[in-house]
Amino acid sequence: MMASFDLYPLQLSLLVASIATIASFAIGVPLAWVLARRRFAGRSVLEVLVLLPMVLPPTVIGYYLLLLVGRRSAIGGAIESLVGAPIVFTPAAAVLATIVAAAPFLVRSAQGGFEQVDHVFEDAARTLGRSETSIFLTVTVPLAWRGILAGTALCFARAMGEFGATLMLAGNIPGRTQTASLAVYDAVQAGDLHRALLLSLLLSGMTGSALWVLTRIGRGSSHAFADGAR
Amino acid sequence: MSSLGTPNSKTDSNTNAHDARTNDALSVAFRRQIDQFVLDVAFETAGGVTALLGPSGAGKTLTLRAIAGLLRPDIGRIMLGRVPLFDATAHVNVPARDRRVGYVFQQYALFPHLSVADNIAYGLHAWSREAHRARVQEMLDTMDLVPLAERRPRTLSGGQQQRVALARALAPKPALLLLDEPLASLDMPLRHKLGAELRALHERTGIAMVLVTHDPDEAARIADNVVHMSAGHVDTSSPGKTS
Repeated sequence: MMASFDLYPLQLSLLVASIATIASFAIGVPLAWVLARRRFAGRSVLEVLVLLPMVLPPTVIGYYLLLLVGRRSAIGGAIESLVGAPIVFTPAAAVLATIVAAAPFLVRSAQGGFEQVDHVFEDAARTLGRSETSIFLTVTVPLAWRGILAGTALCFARAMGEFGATLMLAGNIPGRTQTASLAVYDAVQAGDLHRALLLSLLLSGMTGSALWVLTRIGRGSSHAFADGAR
Repeated sequence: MSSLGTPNSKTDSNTNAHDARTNDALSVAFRRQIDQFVLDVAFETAGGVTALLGPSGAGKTLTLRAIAGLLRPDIGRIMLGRVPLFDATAHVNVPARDRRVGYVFQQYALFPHLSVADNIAYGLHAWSREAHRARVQEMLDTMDLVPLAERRPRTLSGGQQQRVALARALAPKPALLLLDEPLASLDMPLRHKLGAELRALHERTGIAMVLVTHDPDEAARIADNVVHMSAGHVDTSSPGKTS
């Protein structure tokens, strides 16, 4: 039984969630800082747009993404002529859908982290001759670290459980775009409750241990940064 | 912004005081409106220790922030020696990082995630590795912080934190040191002691200081000049103790 157990959906989930979390971090941390620290026209619109995927049905997110990068869209067509293949129904589409569904959790939490950093530390750094980029990396991010880390953990957890948007954009192709959450659904539909249980337990275990590690890191560093958030 | 008019010429930089001006002489004349509050400040110092004295809400801290480059005046001019730090008509606004003005914040604003030594080193990023290490050691020695070098700021007493804040601000060798209520968060015996130490620090290093206080006795004890402020304006500029 175990010998024939197909681990591909779990491997794919882990890969997609990891890439999506790294990408969400790279995009989400600067975006969170902009939302927390800059006042500009359209800021509240941007904030709503960022948060919308948290409350919209994942099928709606997936549908919008299909409109955006589907084969008949301008972006989708450009990608297809560039790469030679459409992006929809590929693992890359799963990554894209997962980023859109999961990144808002990171942005939301990181924004809260940045908002709690007292401006006086950044002012102090300015009078000590540092550039704005240097201040962001050496003062702002370390002091907002707990919010950023909590957001990263949430983002990864959400990414591991992504279902609806991925289904819409990447499909449910076994051995190609079928992630663990999709495989559980398939297994239940097919009456293979043993496989559904095993996949569910493994998915829960992997996500749970990842969260445990991330919160442990957060607790370890919280001592050092305790004075930063006030 | 033109409706705000020109700053009051309470000080005249073309008088004979010009010749005596040193590199750390400070000439401040600017105006900045924040909602209903109008900050309209003009004073000059010839180096030494200057106290900005006045009740809370007088605009003392905002004045320090403008000198440091953390608050942009609407109009006016701020000169340090012969160098314009801000000049609205000439479109000069030197960013805070290039002003060579040290700032000791009211609650010290020590970086909580860095050790005492790393706090002191923070402004020395552009120095060579050797000069950097030597300067941190020198500041630790002179400010009596050697045993605390690896400690985090939150584990220090108020007086110790103040010495770290001073060491951090002085490490990059600023031309001017600004201190916002440097003694306010300390209890009475310590206030006298650290006030005297601030004065001694000035005598030893010769660095020009501008400090904010609401305590007239403190201003008289520490400063050479006292600038009285209330409701966003300078009242009179009367000499304090002579040095």
